[in-house]
Amino acid sequence: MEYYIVTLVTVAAIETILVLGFNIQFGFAGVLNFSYITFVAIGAYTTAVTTLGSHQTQTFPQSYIVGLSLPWPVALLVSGAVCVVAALLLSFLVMQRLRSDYLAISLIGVGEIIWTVAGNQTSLVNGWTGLANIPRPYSNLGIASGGLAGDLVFMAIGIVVAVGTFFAASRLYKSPLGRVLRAVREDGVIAETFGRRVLAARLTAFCIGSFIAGVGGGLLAMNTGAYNPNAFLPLETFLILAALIVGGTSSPFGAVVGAIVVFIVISEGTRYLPSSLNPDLVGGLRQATIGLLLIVTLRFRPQGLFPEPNLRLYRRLRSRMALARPLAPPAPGPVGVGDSR
Amino acid sequence: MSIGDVLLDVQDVSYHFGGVQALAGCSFTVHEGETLGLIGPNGAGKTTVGEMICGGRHPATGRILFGGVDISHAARWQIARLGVVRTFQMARLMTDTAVMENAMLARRPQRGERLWRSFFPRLWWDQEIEIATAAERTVTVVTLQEKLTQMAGVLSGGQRKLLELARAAVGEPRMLVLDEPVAGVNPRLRDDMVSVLRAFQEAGVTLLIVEHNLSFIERLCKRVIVMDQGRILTSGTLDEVRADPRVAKSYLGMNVVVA
Repeated sequence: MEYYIVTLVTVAAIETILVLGFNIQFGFAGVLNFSYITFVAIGAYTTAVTTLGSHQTQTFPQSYIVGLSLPWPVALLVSGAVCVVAALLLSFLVMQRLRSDYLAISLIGVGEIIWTVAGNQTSLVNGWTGLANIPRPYSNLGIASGGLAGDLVFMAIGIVVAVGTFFAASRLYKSPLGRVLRAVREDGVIAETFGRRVLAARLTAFCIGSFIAGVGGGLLAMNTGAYNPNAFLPLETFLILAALIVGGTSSPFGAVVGAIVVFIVISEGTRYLPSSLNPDLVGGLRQATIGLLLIVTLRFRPQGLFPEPNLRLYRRLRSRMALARPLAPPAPGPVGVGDSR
Repeated sequence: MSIGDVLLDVQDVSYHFGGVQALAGCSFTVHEGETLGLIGPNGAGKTTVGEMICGGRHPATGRILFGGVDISHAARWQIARLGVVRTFQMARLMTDTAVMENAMLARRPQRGERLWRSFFPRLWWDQEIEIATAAERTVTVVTLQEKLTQMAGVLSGGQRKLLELARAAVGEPRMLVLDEPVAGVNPRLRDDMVSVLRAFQEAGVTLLIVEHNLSFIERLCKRVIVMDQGRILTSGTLDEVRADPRVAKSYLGMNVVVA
């Protein structure tokens, strides 16, 4: 039972990271990246090939490129960085000239290409069989005593990264950069009318989200110890999108809640269906439930469980202003408009 | 406010939508600190000129200089960074965000817009408070202070136009291009708008007002330009222009109420 809970919490933390990254792209800046899961995969594979070590050290044969044995934090950062590079390359190809709906479609295409190549070009990342034996940090801890120490430590790593990502996303949301991203999401012409570059803003969000996807993907690969192309079917992106819509698009806290609801409550809840049911039915019911939840949310609470905290942000800012006013020198008037009355 | 040097110089600009000639060799200048009214019947090309100045369209021939810089083919954001701000014929707001956010976006540059700085509020918080104060003040001037922390989407059509003006003020523009500011605005709000625009004038902001409503133009502009069929018909004070028989034929003859 303890082992089960630890596993669940670890998965929840990792999925939270992934949904938060997707939120920065889609929720903050309106960049609908339908190949998000491909970036997760790039991160997972990067972590795998930079921590597996050289081929000679493997107990069973699997072919892959690179073959380093970097310390895990470095491997995660490298995974994020590789995803940013991939995002930049991709945006150079497709983002510059495409409106967001066409961008979404072409990104699906890009995802399919990478999926097919990863599966068929066996020398890259071991084809459809995928990579196994991906080392998990501190997995040897307490193994002699049969305890949970190693799992607990990895769970803690997941939680720390998730919490860090959450705070980074929240700060980004509240910052002037977050405001620019929202302007681009709402109406690019307004953003440009006030001197902001739409492409630069979209690219910023795309790269931050991809970095987070890369790190999350790395953790995912470490957690399961194995990764193959079936782990990044296009459907996975839609589960992340569903989690975000249920939780509340563009709300960082909503992303956390959505990840937990969709990936833990529903995915695990269906496990407790009566055992008399056909086992095939369980997987189907799980997806049907997520679909149903999505429909119910969009019909009855389109803003999600936790709506965008925009109004709260400005209420708080105003109360802070009231505090700052007696101390601060009078602010310069906005081109004298206030002076006319 | 005295009138200074030439700020905007539109030189022999033409433009066409497919086969339709919208502008055919249109030239005029706007001086620093001046308020110029651009009037003319529907389809005269007024809005097209306004959009061109803001980078929404680019002239097929001719060129546009702003403060000596050629902006004929500059992007919207580049022109905005020179200090040109515009309002839209149909008010354009970020309707899913707070009124305050709409106003605060207008100020530039903002320190917290750099990626690495955005994670450290300490580095931009003072400026944020300053901009928020400016935003609150201008939104109060246009009497929308009650709505500051509501979604901009709840505002009525006229209120949206007022918010656009408040937003422009937060942007501290050098020149403000107004595209039919009082279209669909009731008379009381219209008076509010005049007083807000007078404040812009007092602050030395150059205004270019594209408008149908002559009584509104009369209250703000010393000089007007009349356009018809993509050309400048005439220019001068509103009285001079009214006396011109060509204007009467093209514009005032079209059953437009002259105040």
